[in-house]
Parts: sequence; C-alpha cells; structure tokens
Amino acid sequence: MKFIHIADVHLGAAPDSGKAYSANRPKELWESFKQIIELCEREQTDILLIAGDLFHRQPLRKDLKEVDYLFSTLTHTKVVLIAGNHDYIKPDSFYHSFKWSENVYPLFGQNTEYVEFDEYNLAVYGFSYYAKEMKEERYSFKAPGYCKREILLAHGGDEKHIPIRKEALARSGFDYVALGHIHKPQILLENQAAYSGALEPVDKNDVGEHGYIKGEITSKGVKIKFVPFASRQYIPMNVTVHENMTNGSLKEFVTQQIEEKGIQNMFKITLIGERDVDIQFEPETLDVYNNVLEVIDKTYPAFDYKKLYHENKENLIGCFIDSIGTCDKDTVEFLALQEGIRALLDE
Amino acid sequence: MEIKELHIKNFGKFSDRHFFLNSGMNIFYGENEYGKSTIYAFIKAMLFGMERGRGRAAQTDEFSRYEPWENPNYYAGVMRFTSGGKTFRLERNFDRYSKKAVLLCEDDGEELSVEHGDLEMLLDGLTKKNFESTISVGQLSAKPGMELAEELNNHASNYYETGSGSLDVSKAFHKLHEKKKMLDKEKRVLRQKREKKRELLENECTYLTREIEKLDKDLAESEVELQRVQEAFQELHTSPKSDETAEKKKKGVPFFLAGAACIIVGVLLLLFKIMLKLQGGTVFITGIAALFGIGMASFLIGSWRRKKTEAEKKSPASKENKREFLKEQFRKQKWKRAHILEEKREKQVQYQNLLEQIEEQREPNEQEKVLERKSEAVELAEKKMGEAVEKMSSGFGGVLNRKASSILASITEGKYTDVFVDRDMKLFLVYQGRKILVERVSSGTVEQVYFALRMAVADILFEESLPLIFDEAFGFYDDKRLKSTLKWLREQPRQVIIFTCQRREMDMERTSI
Repeated sequence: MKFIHIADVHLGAAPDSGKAYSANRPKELWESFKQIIELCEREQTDILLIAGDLFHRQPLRKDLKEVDYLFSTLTHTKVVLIAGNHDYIKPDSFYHSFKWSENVYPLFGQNTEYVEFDEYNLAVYGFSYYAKEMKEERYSFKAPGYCKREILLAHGGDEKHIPIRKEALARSGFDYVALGHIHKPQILLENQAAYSGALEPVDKNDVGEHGYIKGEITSKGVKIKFVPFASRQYIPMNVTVHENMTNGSLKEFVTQQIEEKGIQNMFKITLIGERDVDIQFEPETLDVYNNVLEVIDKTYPAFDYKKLYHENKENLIGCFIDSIGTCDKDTVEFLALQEGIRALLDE
Repeated sequence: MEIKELHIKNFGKFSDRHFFLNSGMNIFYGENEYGKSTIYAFIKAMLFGMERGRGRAAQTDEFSRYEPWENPNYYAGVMRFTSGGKTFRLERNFDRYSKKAVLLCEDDGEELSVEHGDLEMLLDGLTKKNFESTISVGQLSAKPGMELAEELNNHASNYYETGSGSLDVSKAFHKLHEKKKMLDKEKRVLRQKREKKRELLENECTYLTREIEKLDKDLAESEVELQRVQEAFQELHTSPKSDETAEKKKKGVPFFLAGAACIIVGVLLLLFKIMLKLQGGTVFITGIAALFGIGMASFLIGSWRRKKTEAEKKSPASKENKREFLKEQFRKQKWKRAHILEEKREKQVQYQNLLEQIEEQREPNEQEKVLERKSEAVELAEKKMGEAVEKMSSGFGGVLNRKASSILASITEGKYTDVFVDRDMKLFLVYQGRKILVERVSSGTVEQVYFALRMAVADILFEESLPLIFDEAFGFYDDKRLKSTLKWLREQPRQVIIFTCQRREMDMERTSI
C-alpha cells in the first residue's frame, strides 16, 4: 500500500503580504496542492493523507468545491483528511454539510473516527479540531486493532494544540502516525511517526526545505521518506561582514550568494559581525531580485570598546561606557552603547 | 616630550631647512608670508601624518596646501625629539608613491612602528583632534553671530562635560536626538501602513455587511413569496371538487329550453297567422317578434352558459396544471431561498475570516518591534549620556575648576581668583570676591580664561608634558597681560613654541632673560 502524507497546505494564506512575491504566492500554494494531486494520479498512490490545516482560515464553499474537484480527478487514490486548528470546524462551517466525492473520507468528528479500506486491510483513525486551541493531550490512545494495518492522522504537538509525547506514539501500536501542525518537516520516530511539514513554506519563519512524505506499507513493515517539493524555500542567510566591507561590496557578495542558492527562493538575511565604523548598511539595496523578505542588521561598528575605555577612562567616553556597564551583545544596552559612542565620535 | 630639531626636506615653500629648538621657550617671529604656518603645519604633519583628501575636499586640504613648490613628488621631512629620556628620529614621506613613516630610537638604534601605535604611545595618546583642542592654541575665534564669551562658554562646557577637548557633547546629544526622531518617523510610517491595511480590511467588512443585509432582505422577500405560493396551493386543495360545475352546467339547460320553446311558439304563431290569413294586428306581430327576441336571447345565454360549463368541464386537467405550476413555483422559491442562505453563509464565513485578519493587523509587526527596540536603545543612550555628563562635570569639573583657577590667578596677577561653571554650564569668574558672568568681562580677559582652561585640560589629560604651541594666540592681550602670561609659561616644565608676527613677545623675552 503506497501513501502520500501532506499537511499544512494553508490554502488561502497570503504569505508576506506587501513584499514583491505576495501577489502570486496564494496562487502558488494552490498550484503546489494541485501538483500533489497530479502526482498521486500519476503514481497511482493508494492513499492520500492530509493531516489538517488544508486551509488557512475557514474554507468558503467555493474553496471546498475547488478542492473536491481536484480530489474527484483521482481515479485510484482515496483521500483521508482532518481539520486542523486553522480550518477548525466552527458551528457554521461548510465542512459540516459539504458533499465530497466518493473517494474522499473526511474524519470530521470531534471524537476519534475511522475509515476502513478493506482492499488494504487498513484503517485510518483521526478527529478534527472544533476550536482554535486544544490543550488536552489527546493522542495517547492505543491503536484499536480493527484492521491489520492502522494509521493515525494527527494534528498538533505544541502546548496549545494537543501536546504530543513521542513515547506515547511509540507505544501506541499504530503502524504510522501522520502528523500535521508543525511546519518544519521532521521524522519523529523512524518509519513510524513524522511531520510532513507544510507543503509550501507559509510564512517567513518556515525556513528550509518543504515537501511531503512518501510511504509504503508492505509485509516487511512501513517505510517513509521525506520528499522536497515546494516551489520555493525560505532561506535564512547569515552574512558575516568585515571591516573592509562597503555597501557596494556587501551587495555584490549577497547577490552572488542569492544566485548560488537559487533566485526562486526567498531570503531572510541577517548581517552579523563588525563593520567599518563609518559605514551604515542600507538593507533596501540588497534586494536585487525582489526576493529578500527582510534584512536584519545585527552588525556593530568595529569599535574596540575595551581599548576605547582604556584610552578614555578620564573623559566622557570612558564615563559613558562605565555608565552603561558590561552588557552582552544583542541587548538593548549594547545597542545604546553603540549609538552613544557613535554620536560622540562621529564627525 | 620635547622637539629638538625640525628638518624640512621638502614641504611647502621650504626645502632642506633645519630648525633647532631648545628646552624652554622658542619664538618664531616673522612677518606675514615668512612661513610660520608652514612650520606649524609641518609639526602637525610630522606628529599625525597627512592624508590626501578625496574628491573636491582634496583641492583645499592641507596636503595640497603644503605640497612642495618645487619637485612635488618629494614631499618629506624629519623630526627629532626626546621622550622619556630617549631621543627619537621620526622620518616621514608624504607623497603618494613613497609614503612611509620611520621611527627610530637614536640611543639604541631600535626601530619602532608608527603603524602599530608606538608613536601614539610616546605622545601619551595625543590625537590630532586633542592636539588642536589643547596644547596647540590659536586665537579664540567666535563663530559669526556669536559673542566671544558665548564661544568660550561652549568650549568650557565641552571641557567640563566631556573631560576632553575633542569631544562635543551637545553635538552628540543632537545626533542622538536626530536618530530618535528618524526612528520614530520610520515607526510611524510602518504603523500608518498597517493601519491603512486594516482600514482596507474594515472597508471590505462593511461592504460584506451590506451584502449580507441585502441577502437578508432577499431572504425575507423570498420567504413572503414562498408563503404566497404555499397559500395558493393550499387553497387549491381545499376548494370543493367538480359538483359545482355540474350544477352550473344544469343551469344552462333551462335557458336553452326556454329559448327553444319561445322560438317554436313564435314560429307556430307565425305559421298560424299565415295559414289563417289573419288580418292586421300589429300587436300580434310585435308579440311574435318579442317571442323571437326572447327565444334568441335565451338561446344565446344558454349557449354561453353551456360553453362556460364546458370549459369548466375540462377543469380537472387545468387544475392539475395549476397545481404543477404552483409546485414548480414552490420548488423555485425554495431553491432560491437555499441559494441565498448558502450565499449568506459563505459571506458570513468570509466576514469571520476578515475579522481574524483585522485582528492580526492590530499588533505591531516584527519590523516595528525592531525599530521600537532601536529607539529604546537611543533613549537609553541619551539617559546614560546625561548621567555620564553629570558625573564628568562633578568629578573632572572639580579638578578643572581648581587648575584653571590657579592658572587664571597667576596670569591675571591675582585679579581673578577663581573660574568655575555652575550646574547650567555657565562660566563664572570671581573678581574681588564677587561672582561675575564671563559675558561681562573684556575680550582680553575672555582670551585669558580660554587660555587657562586649555592649559588646565592639557595638564589633566596628559601625564607626559607635551610642548605647548601658540599660533598668533596673544593678539588681544595688552602688554601687561602678555607679560604675565609669558612669565607663567616660562615657569612651566614644558617646551613652549610661539609663532608670532609681532615683536612684542620677543622683546619681552629678551628683557626678561
């Protein structure tokens, strides 16, 4: 039995609104989802598991129609889905009444439900969110054993969204636990429990690779594999500047780095290190390809504070350094120190 | 530190000239154009090097000003000086191609590195800026539109508040203030952007609300329509069946019969009359005609009634039609209502989603938070700077007051005993036990206070007794003041170098020796 496990597609989200890419981005999420459906059809995948948050907010009826149309194009694949904390089932949700295609099996109950697939001797279990938050730990039950193979569709894993304990999952007896909610893909238990992660990065904090999990259950057991799929990645990039860097040379360096990593990706740049005391970086000039989401300038002028203090113990500079006291980099005090010293030393 | 020899190899108008200096007072006297400023610039260039400026500034900077008149690619000199009991030889090439600085200790032949700060060490950390604001004294010059005393006050408060001649505290505060203003502006722009976005979303919300209201109205209308159809349908069901029409049908027959009877009687009467050849009797004719008329009328009524009932006879079929029609209407209305309801729900979900989005726009975003932090930092820097200034002026200020007072007292021969600044950085003198604002004294005295302050700062800042250099500094002094100032200078354990275009200094020195 071959399956594909996706989660957190967040259809309808408009990531990073205001930036160059945001206009197209919602369409890209749909496109990516569509491609997963096409992939299932091409590979004649048996089961498509969707572990919650297919939608970013409450789905409109027309959204459900679009999604169901895509499902209906599958000639072989059966789809099992649950609602997550983003598309949780409100009293007036369209999820209640929507008529899905025959190959779609929503587990929209508040309590655990299951669907059986006799042809694979498989049961898939799961329940859906009825509120934005759910703080109880609800995934520590054992696999009921109605079928030979049992899969759990689950959504959550943080404090406010059904805390999940790895050990509980390990002892649950489920052949595979398909998890959603955490956007970063991660294998929780080797071949037994995994977050597929968001299909596409949804906001700029979803850094790194994104895609789906491809799995197979055979007589030998379960085998899963993460497959990168997203059209873009959010790449965090730390750029260490040095004292001889100017705006021009920094721009050149960053542009080259972006080209190397692929200009289709989106970048979060953090400038670190010591810069020339006379240089102030201009972050907006770094966005050559319109794919830099943010630039955080954590550089500090290459003042040698110890030396400065030593040389100026008797005067205001020393006294000012004294009054700020010792502080770690990254604190407001350190920022204040920089600002003050610059103000005193600048021409 | 003492300067022993200046060997100007090629610098400005001089080439291969030696000037030897002694430990005490050295006076360079010369008329204008003699080259005093060149020698002064040479000392500065030897101590701190000289960089060629960039761009437009290069045309007027010192580098170009003293570029040798002859053979400008050879731009160099040597200075010999003593420091800490040893003699050093500093050689510099300024020109672009052979630029270098070599520092050699003549006693042990050790080569020191200017690049690595050995010269700075010998100079006790003296920087070019420090040099210009302490040991090298020019005439106190007021900026345009400013009183001399005001200018002095600025200098003084800077000394007091920064403990250094080279720091400008009011400029620093101004910089911080400007930075804060800039950050706040950026923050405001971001907030406005966010609010604008929220406003757009809210507009969308209002629009949606209106649409939902319209749907409610449509729904109410559809409800009424549905009710109407339902009533009509019910009416159709409760109305009695075909009996009535049958009765109606019978009702037509008497008219028919009566009409037929009338006509038959009329015909019979007419025949009767013709056969009997009855004469006259228009009344009779009229009667017959009336009978015909009645007969025809009855017949017509009868046939109309009959037609009507015939139509009504067909009514089982037409009633079925009507029922079907109403049913269809009912279905249509129901469908319409369901459709409106669905649309309304869709809009309501959309509305809820929008509310969520609006809520998200209420919180300041990450960028705003970063700016907030920066502006917090600037505020903190301002506060800490204030504290540091206070500490400086109470600590350093006390020392400065004492030193400057003693210097002022000796160069004014006890006329002014004290100089100090108050909390508001106002400079005061004490004259015959009375406090007077520095604005109230003559410009000569202002110069002397300035002198006293600079000498005091130089004394406090540098343990090494560096040479004092005066460039046309005593122009405003009367003879008496000049005399006592020179006397004070002579008593200092320092080398003194004076550049002047007046003979006074030299004459006085000569008489005093």
